[in-house]
Amino acid sequence: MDLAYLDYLATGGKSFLHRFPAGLKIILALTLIGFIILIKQVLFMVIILAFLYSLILLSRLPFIKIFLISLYPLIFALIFAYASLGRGWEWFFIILLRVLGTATTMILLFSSTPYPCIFASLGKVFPEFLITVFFMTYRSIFILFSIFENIRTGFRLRGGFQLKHPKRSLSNFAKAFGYLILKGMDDSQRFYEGLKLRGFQGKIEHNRRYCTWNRR
Amino acid sequence: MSHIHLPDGILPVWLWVLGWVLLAGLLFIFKGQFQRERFSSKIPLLAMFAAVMVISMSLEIVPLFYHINLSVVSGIILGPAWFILCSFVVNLILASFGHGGITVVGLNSLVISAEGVLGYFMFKALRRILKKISWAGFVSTFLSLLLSTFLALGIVAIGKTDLSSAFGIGHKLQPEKSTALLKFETGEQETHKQEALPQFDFRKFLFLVLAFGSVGWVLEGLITSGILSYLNKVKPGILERE
Repeated sequence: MDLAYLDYLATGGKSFLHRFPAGLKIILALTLIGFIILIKQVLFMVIILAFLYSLILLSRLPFIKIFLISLYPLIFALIFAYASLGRGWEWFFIILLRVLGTATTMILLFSSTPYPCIFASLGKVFPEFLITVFFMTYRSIFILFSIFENIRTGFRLRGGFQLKHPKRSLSNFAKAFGYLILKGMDDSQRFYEGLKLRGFQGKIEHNRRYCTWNRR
Repeated sequence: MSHIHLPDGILPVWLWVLGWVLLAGLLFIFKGQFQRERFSSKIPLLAMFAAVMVISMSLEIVPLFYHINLSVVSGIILGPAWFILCSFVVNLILASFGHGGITVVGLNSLVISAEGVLGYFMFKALRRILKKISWAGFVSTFLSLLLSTFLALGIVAIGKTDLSSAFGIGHKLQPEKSTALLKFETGEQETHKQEALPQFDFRKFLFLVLAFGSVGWVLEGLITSGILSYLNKVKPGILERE
């Protein structure tokens, strides 16, 4: 899953971009996205993309992997771009480059900043209650993903998704997700009981020092 | 695709800002309920469902190039208020790896919220009419996805409609060639400039979305009905939690 991979890159990296304060990186990323949305010339879009790609290389992040992840939103953008072909090819490329630019900016931010640091910085803008939800979701994703890996093996052993047997495939698929939901609900209840025992007051404390220059 | 992951840079600024404002308004309406239940097991449950949705949305069914959302299942179990918060969390996390734009998180959350909330109410109503949970699950999922897709299409249509000329306000600008290196344009200038250019072909867009979407609605409906039947069989009473 892309999320786990980006998290691995963010926590394992030691470049200057990784050590840059999370709050500043968020501000810079949002400024860059603002530029990308406002600029209407292919040349300047290409310059911004070149800047982003050079940052990826300088941060010693895997360029090809990140590039491939950033291509995913282009599937949806292609529908918009195709419908806008009447405005000319320049507009077609501007739409694609805008989407590629914003996606690359976001992926670069999340592959160089651990999620807890981003959530901690967002705590200055969003209510603390929401940040607690983000932290818990982040934790749950990794717990559920490890459960899902086992379920996926079981699903494959039962034949996986076969177009020849759509009914059986869909039934197995539904059961796999049904089991994941039940397991998730049981785990969430156990997690809640654990939190209550530790005196949960609707807020999870986080170490801001980890997200600054001297974190290593 | 059952819903459209609107990317960044396609819709006008006023529209995605409005999306954020509407989402904030919706969350504010349910603020009291969130405050009341903030120490209950609802938060870990919401986190788990958000995680299930993120996992399901990041996995493609390879031969069909489609991903499921599980928004209706989540909506039925979490209930409308908590599901709206859940869809916001899901969209913000998905935007972190390019799955939907960051500026349009508000609009995308509204579309997915509509899916879950409509699914919740339709399932509750259909369960009384149709005896089988699988049928109630299929019909409610299919209809809620259909309606939420039309909501997303409506958003795109509004975004691509020249509102100033439609309502006879503002003035027409002559298209001019700029020699400046960087071109920054305000929403108004952009709107007027579009008048000189052929418009966004909404019919073409509608055809593509409905052609791909219809396959998605049936598929998601079948999977959701299977999940709901499984949950009801393995843990009876789970669907009456809310």
